[in-house]
Amino acid sequence: MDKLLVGWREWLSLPNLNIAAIKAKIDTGARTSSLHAFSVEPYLARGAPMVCVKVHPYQNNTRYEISFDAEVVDRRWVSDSGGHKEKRYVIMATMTLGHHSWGSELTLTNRDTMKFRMLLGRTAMDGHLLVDPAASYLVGKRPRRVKHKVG
Amino acid sequence: MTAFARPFRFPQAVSACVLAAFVGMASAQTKTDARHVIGWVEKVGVTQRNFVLDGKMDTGADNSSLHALQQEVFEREGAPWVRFQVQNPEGQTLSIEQPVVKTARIKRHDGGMEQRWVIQLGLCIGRQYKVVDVNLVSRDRYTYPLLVGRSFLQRDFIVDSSLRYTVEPACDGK
Repeated sequence: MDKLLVGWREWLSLPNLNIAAIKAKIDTGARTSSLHAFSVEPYLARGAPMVCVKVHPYQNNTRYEISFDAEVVDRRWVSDSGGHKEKRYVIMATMTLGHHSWGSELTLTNRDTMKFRMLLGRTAMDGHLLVDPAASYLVGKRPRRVKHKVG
Repeated sequence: MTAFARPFRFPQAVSACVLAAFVGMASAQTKTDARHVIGWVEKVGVTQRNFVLDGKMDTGADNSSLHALQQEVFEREGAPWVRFQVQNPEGQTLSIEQPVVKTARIKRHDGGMEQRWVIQLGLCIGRQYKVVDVNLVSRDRYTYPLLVGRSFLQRDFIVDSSLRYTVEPACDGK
């Protein structure tokens, strides 16, 4: 399969998580991918562990929020770039970048202070992406308008 | 590995999540060019002296950082300099003295600020030698002593995170 050349920042979508567009840092320095949510609420649905997640997909915009439910596939200790360890929920996400789509694990963290709401790490890009450190948004541009329903 | 090695308790509740509509994104495009594709870990030559370290290519970082031991700031002809040592995987050390070009303030997770000295250092990957800003880190725990950021990588390299150790440093005479 041809690998997709991407910049170090890209707009991607996570269709199974209702996220039409989110800006991600494509980070070869990170192993796991992470999504920065402002709320992560665990619950059980027919005995299966689930999370209800709320995200502000656009940085510097706390009015627009998206929420989704996802099955928890694991809980795992993850170290961030500063060496800070945190136990995180792991869910499965479909990453869509341009015409390419593939499934990968995504860890949830609720630090809302990060500039990027999403980091795409090596495990998720493995075999799919080549990263150009000089370029940004080679594949997807931020959509002019994102339709969403409230309530 | 089992998904829940240590069971944890989920509150019995119904999710309040609201579904939002999904809108597809712009189309893909694939480009090819002559830049060198390297892995996410490579042997990197430090200074002109063929001292080789394992470096992690970090497209998420603006600048490069180096694990520097025994950092010591001193004054030379009225300017601040820093003296430090780097250690390679074989345990050999290299002493480096460089002028401090600035200090970088890094926000830490405990809310405090960490100040790092920034120097200019020549790095070599493959045949590419560049002098870039490098900030000096004194972490105790680290996997790779050198993180190579975008200021070094850009315009010459493409990073493939499924590869490791694809090139040897070969910048002799530069």
